[in-house]
Amino acid sequence: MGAPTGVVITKGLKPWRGYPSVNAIHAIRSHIQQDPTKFVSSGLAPSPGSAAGHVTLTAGVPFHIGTIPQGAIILPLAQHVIVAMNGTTPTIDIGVKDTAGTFTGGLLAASAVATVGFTAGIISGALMGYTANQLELFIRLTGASTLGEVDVCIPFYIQRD
Amino acid sequence: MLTLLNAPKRGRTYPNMNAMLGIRCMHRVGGPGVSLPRGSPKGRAIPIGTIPGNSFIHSAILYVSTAYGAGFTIDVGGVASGAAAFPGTGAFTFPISTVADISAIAKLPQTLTFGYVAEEMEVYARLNGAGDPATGGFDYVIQFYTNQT
Repeated sequence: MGAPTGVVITKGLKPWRGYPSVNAIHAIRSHIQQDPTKFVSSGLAPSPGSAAGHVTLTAGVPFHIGTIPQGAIILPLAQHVIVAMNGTTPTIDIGVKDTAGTFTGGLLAASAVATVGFTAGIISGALMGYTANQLELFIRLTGASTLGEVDVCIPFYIQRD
Repeated sequence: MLTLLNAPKRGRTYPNMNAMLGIRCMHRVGGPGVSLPRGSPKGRAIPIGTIPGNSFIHSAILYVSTAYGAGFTIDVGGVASGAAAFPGTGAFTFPISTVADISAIAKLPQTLTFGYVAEEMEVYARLNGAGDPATGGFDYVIQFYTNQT
């Protein structure tokens, strides 16, 4: 059975998933794995990349990672470059698209991922803090990369207490 | 040797919950909370929780509510779950905080060196210092997230 008549489901977008009445910090997290060998299965076991829910990004193509509900407050981000990405000056952006479907960013801008390291407390994005609108978040890689592993976590709180 | 004192605390999480989870180590001299066997230069590590594999440690913060006095510090860190050797007084495989100062009242966000936890990790804490502190109280909170896109 499909969606009721008149309901438009945007293809490929993950809806907001949370516990509306829990006093906990929710989050959206993305684990990027650019090494194609991590997605090769041996025997019946799934590949380590897919088993762990990791994703591979195509340079320049925004990938949807989740939805932040209207009224939430977005808290400082953290990024861990576990394996340095190769290629020419690879960077990642996290943010939204405009009404025309063009990625405009807003949470993480041109963050370097060519060096291993952990960065916490990232608050530089213009969309940090209170959001009056529901935000469909995307992550985008700039610079083709065939090796590297990055984990990014975006916490947010939805209650007004 | 595995004893009641150093048996790892199992991970207690909601695997499909899109929420930040936490581990808290609360210590009060002569009061409630965990019992940390003090030692000099290093105390003995006590398990305070387990972080599932494929998690992401977002932050850690140390609140010292009552000063312990000069020379007292804590270490917090992890070892792979099921490791053959318990950390005891030795180095942690995955150090989170090393010789964090608890000599005075303070709020101390910790500088992490990693976020991604590839394999299930048991987390331990220990109290370092010479002589038993007459006073002291701290809370150490680790926030971590288990889900991902």
